[in-house]
Amino acid sequence: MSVLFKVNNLKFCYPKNDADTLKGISFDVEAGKIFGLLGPSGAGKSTTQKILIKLLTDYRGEIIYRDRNLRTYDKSYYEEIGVGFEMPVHFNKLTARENMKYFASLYQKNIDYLALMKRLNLDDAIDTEVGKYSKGMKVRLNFVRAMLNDPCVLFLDEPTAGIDPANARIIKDVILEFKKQGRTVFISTHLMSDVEQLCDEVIFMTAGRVGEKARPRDLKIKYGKRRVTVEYHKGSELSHQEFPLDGLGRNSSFLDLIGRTEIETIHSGETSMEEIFIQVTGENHE
Amino acid sequence: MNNLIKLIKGEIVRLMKYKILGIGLLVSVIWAVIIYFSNPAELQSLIPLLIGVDATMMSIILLAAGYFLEKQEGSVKSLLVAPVPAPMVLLAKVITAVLSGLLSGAIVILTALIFHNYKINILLITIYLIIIIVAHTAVGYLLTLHAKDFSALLAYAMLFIFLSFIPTILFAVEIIPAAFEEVMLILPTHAALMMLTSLTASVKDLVVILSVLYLSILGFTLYPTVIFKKFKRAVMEG
Repeated sequence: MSVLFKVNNLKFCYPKNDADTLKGISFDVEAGKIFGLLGPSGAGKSTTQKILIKLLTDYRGEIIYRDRNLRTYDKSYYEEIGVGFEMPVHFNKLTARENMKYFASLYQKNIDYLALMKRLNLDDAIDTEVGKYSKGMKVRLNFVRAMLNDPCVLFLDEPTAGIDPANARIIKDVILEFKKQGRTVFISTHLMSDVEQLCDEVIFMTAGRVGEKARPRDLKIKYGKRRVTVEYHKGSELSHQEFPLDGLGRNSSFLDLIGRTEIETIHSGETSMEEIFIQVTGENHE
Repeated sequence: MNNLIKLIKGEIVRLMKYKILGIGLLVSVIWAVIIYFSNPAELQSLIPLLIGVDATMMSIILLAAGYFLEKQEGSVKSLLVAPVPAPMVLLAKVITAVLSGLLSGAIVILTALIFHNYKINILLITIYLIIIIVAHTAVGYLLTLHAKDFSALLAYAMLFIFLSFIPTILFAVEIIPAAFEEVMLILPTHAALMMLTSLTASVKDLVVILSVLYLSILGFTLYPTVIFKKFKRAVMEG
């Protein structure tokens, strides 16, 4: 896989602040992958994303996109990327169709946005003013807006926040299909379930720095307990016993237990992304 | 250019949907009614005043209302990630404000023409209106981008109106001496009224030239030097 974005020693200070919000972060994003940007509020995720979508330009350091400095790209960059904001970004007095038609007219290339709206169960509300939409409907419409120009790279900020599980599933399916086409997705989210289901690689940011960068699976192994817990019936009671994962197949106690008792469950000590989040960032993301 | 036209069309559609254009036109209709019931002799001072109020105060208030509505929606952010240059987004808003101001001016002038056979130099008033509206939308943006919310903006607008119009009234009733005529032009609204008055009554050439130069420089330099940067930052922070 080729590197799509190469971020080197990125620093950024907001005009009204004394200290840098980003304190020299570096990472690569491979093409065709789903990349998660995680961290507590104020860690610098949004700032990083705003720089990558060229809304903030007074940064220090270097960003290489497709082997060229990001600064050298003009507005045509927005033909290649799609941006989904967390907060609603539509004209409330216009209908969803009018909003999409208007934004679509600004691009050279469009998807069949009506079909995507239908897939996201917005077809009944296509001709409804966006101001009358529920929060979840606005989030779904934001996603359609991001996909409008058939982008190569998607930047999504909390793409499933505030929507029901069924529609969240549809959005995640669309994201995975997008990835299957060899395209790249950049997700910033607090929802660790989304991270587990979608991301190929994540970075954790804390206080403007990169804390960890790894595949979710590797993080789970790194932060997980290498232990197995067996729940079994002991008479009428449910009991449990822990065993080290290493050498489990040769562990006579374990083999004896599973051979002679009725097993209720067996769990490995794999940790959740939520626990990893708390461990890495030192904060409870809720 | 193609995208600029699309942006302007979008702005006009939204001005209509949000009833901002309707309110602006309603005010113009009120001016038209006043003109209809006025004596021909009064038109000489009335027409520049009414068109002036439309091009100055109304420009600022309508622009501010539109800006805060869009800020609340976050819709400008969505435009900034589309392949249109950010200054073009702002330019479309200014052109729309100019078109709206010209339409209001046209209603007033046509009423005077139809009911009082009142004639005015159309080309010159169009040029003056463009200069005046661009300058006042620039002032409007400065106030708007500085205000944290709509209430603060209203307070700034009231202060601006007070500081602009009171000296003009004091000058008109000669409490401020005529010797201060050129100094008074520092007030954009006063400069605008002098330009418009010169189309219907006698105004010193120097005053007109200074007014045109001042408002042209004000409008066409504030946008690229100050407003654009503030606009983009405000959209991002919003």
